[in-house]
Amino acid sequence: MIYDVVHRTTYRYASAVDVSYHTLRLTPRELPYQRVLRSAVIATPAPLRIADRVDWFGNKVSHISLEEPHDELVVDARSVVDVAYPPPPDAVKTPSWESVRDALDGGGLPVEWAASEFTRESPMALIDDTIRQYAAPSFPKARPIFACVLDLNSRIKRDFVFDPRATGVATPVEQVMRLRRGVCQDFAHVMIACLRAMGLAARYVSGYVRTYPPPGQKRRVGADASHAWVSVWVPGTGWIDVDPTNDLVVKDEHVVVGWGRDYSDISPIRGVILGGGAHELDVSVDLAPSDPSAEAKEDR
Amino acid sequence: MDDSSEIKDPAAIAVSPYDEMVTGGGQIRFHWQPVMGALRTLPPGALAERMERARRQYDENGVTYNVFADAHGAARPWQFDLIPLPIPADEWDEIEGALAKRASLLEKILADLYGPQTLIAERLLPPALVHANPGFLRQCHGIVPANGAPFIHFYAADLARGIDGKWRVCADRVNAPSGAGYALENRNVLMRTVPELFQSAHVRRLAPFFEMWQTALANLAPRHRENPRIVLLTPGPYSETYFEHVYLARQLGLTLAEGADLTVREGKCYLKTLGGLQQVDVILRRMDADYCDPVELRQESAIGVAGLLDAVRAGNVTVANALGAGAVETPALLPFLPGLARKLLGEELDIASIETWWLGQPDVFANVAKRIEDYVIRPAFGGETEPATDASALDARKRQALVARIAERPWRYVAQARLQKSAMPVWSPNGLQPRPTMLRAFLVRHEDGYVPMPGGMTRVAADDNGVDISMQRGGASKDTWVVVREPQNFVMGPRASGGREPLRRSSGELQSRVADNLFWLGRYAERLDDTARLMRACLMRAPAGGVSAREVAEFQALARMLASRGLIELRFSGMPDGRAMMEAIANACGPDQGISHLFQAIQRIAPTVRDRLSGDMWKVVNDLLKDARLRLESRTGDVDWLFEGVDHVIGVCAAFHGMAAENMTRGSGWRFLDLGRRIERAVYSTAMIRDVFAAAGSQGGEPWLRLLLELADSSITYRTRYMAAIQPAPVVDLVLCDETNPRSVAFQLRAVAEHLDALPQRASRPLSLPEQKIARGAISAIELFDVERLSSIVDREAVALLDELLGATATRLSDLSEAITRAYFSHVTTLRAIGYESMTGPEGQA
Repeated sequence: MIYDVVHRTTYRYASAVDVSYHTLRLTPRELPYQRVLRSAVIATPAPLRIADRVDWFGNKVSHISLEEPHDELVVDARSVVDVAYPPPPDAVKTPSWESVRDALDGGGLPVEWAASEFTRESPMALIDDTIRQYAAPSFPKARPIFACVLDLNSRIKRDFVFDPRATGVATPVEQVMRLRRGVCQDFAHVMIACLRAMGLAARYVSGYVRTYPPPGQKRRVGADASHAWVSVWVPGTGWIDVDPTNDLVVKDEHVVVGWGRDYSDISPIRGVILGGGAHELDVSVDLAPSDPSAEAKEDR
Repeated sequence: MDDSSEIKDPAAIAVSPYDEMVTGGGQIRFHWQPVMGALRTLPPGALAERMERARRQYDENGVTYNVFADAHGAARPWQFDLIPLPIPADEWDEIEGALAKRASLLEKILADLYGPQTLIAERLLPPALVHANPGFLRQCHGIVPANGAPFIHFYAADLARGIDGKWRVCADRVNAPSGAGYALENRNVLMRTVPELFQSAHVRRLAPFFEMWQTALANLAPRHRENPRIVLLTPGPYSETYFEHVYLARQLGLTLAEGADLTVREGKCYLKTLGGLQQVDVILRRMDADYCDPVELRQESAIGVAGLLDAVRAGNVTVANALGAGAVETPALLPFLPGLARKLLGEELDIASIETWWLGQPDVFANVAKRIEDYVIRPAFGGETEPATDASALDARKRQALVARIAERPWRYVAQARLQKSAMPVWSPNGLQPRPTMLRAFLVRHEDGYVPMPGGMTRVAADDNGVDISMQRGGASKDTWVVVREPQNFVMGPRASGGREPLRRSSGELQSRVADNLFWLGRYAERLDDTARLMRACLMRAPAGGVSAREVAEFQALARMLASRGLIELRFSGMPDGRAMMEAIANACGPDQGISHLFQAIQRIAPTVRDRLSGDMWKVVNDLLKDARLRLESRTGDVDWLFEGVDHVIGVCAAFHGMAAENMTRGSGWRFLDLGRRIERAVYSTAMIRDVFAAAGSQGGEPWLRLLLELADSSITYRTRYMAAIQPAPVVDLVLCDETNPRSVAFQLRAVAEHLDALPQRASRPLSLPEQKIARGAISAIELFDVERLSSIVDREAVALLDELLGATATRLSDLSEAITRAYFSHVTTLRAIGYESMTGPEGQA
């Protein structure tokens, strides 16, 4: 499936900012199941310096700096992406979750050392007894790992209420567990913490998801948002993406920008400004099938 | 003196620590004999007196160790002991070689961790030591230090000697090791206070190490190698070891810089100076790595340099030690070092590490858990501030709880065998006491190897228990000697001096931040002085209780002046009586009132410019001012006491200004301090003249002019000059227009203009800068004023003209302050982090 993605971020400052530095993670990754056909990130006013690199997790990063006074910054990220995830494995045929846990531990020296990084607690997905207790019912003895994951994915969808007002970008998992409310980022963090509490490897995936208007209404351009979901490591298959916000296995309606241990590794834009007073932030995201006829068909 | 040389009970020897000074047979070791010999020649009681002398020296040099938890404020005096730890040269050579090898090994490990990570892939190193280690900075992966610079430029190792007499490495210090400056200062103080010690001992000098260090730093520069700009990056005056930052910067000829002094533009790092931006080539880092760049590292860091990592990645600046070098500081690495040495060096390590087990391996953890009482449990990651738990000190239930806590996250802990550290004597009023001892040794990478400091910082525990020896926990430090048998050319005598210094007339460019703070220090100090003078004038009129109408009027005028400056609250209306007035002034002196805000402002700014103030000036702003404030705040009610308290404040202000005039070199720093002071005084004098004339109104007359002279501290000048009755024109001339009177407005403006002309030229400088124009405008307005017209204080027209001039001058002064701020301090703004505040992912697909 081919999508056009437009992700626009606007900062408006009460008074002029003298210098600002921003780190952008807005360019979708090239993956075996995701081809990036076109992609561009344009900042206005034009930065004096742009330094591109690939971060530790393999994500594309741009560091930009603006060194002339400015009272607005617009970052426009556009891409055309072709996504087709491979079908997930047959859950019952995946290895038991305990065997995966043991392989990732490896007595301290695991062979799968790269995946083992994602078994560690990270700043925004801390593990406590509440998490351990919540996770446990999905992991009965000897259950195949992917069956555990699907069960946990469904439970989170069932037990948590989607509520954008309940949490913010820095809400800790512990609070989400208490509120039983939140957004995609919170549900992803809960699931990641649960999987890691069981000794499994889970990463936080940042990107976009296709949305559908309520029946009888037109799709509103720009009304979408960034999305986040979870990737879990299953030996023999590799990383499999599941979306606890929507209780599904990712197929061809998600576009991956990048991943990390949690949100703090992959926030789309973070920056530091000198001066500027108060600021306003406006974000708009639009994801639409590239082929209009495809959409037309679905409207019917 | 000899209590440590007693022969010990043979039964005790088996469990006793190794004694640094005495052999098992009760003999004083050969290399200790010069030390003990010299101490024996001292008359009884001499050591106590020398201790006192040393304490004074540390104090005068401002040697402190800041402890946040210390209730007595940030700085705590340096704890030291006069008995050095001597180490024979041949033994030292072995230590040196072993540590140099160890540093090279750690360097190779870092190169792998921040590069291909083959050590993890080949299972020589558990991935958790990297992935769960906050010292490993993922943001720095892939950065190769510019121009062949090492990851570890400066390395320190903590050593202790076990009961077998063998040294062991207890910890590697790689992130931003401290102590080298303290070691040098310990040596200097010991040489001055107990020179007898050095008469018969041949001790290797420390100075050549610091000279070599300077060269090694210069060689790190990616460019400008002949004359690189090197800064020492400090977290600031509230850091524990700030004294050492100041001291090392001076010793190594570096500019001391806080994060706010540096800026990154177009991927290059610059020092913000009065003369503009100066490119920085090398940063000697004394800031924890994760605080160094709020853009990519800890976002909430307000002390870092935004964009520094980008500049490092671009190869435009070298940071030493490299950002992320702290990854190998973890004790969890210790058990793996021998295997890594074989792999990376093809050799064994010459000094073993303290017996350490990383509990992230289930079988290791199981073994340790069985005999947990034999171990000290330490966090594997995080700084030295986290305490260790000695499991032998816990009861069975607490041991179980400890094991359970470890089991939740076993990779976060190490178990270390308890090391019975060697003991050495420490002087106490009751004689010498044995104390557990540790040695911190320092090495600098120079050319292809690591060169050690011949000596180090010896630390002794505060008590017999030597599990944790640290300056944070109240230990004391000592000089460390490498003793050679024969005098050699590198041996020093009692009089030591460093290498020859090239003559310099200035201490480099002044950072804009420092200039800003000095300017405001000058303003606040002057404001405090002026305020105290106003209060004193008021108090002088109080005791009489306001007898004559004139006195009451003066009193009222002064009260209004104090009130208009926000210093007192005028709760009464109409005629104030002496009592009400006194109460108001007493309240104003109390804590959290007008005047105490001034004290607070000064005490807040002074530490930020501490390295620019001489020891004596520091003492004035720190100790004397604190004392003056306490005195004043405790003296409510009683007029005489209050009067004395206010008088004392004026004295302290005078001492401060006097020292600035006498002891500060006439560089830009002094100029900004004085600029602040002059502008403040001009503001005060202008307002005062206006207020007095306004108060005089139509009542007119001599008394008001006398008050004016008194407030301007110009009565005596007037009397010697005129001897006649007091008339308005000469008085106004003296306090406003006379450029020879150091209290007049014109004098202040002239001084301001001179400073502005003498400051470093700014790039693309127009003929005359805005602040210079304003200053000249203010001067000529006063020059043009026809003061003779003021034949009478009741001449309304003349007084109106004067008032107009004073009003215009006040406006010009405030413009002037703003223009100076814009011209010199404008890039002193604080950084703020911004980013996505909330993330509301869409829910519900059709």
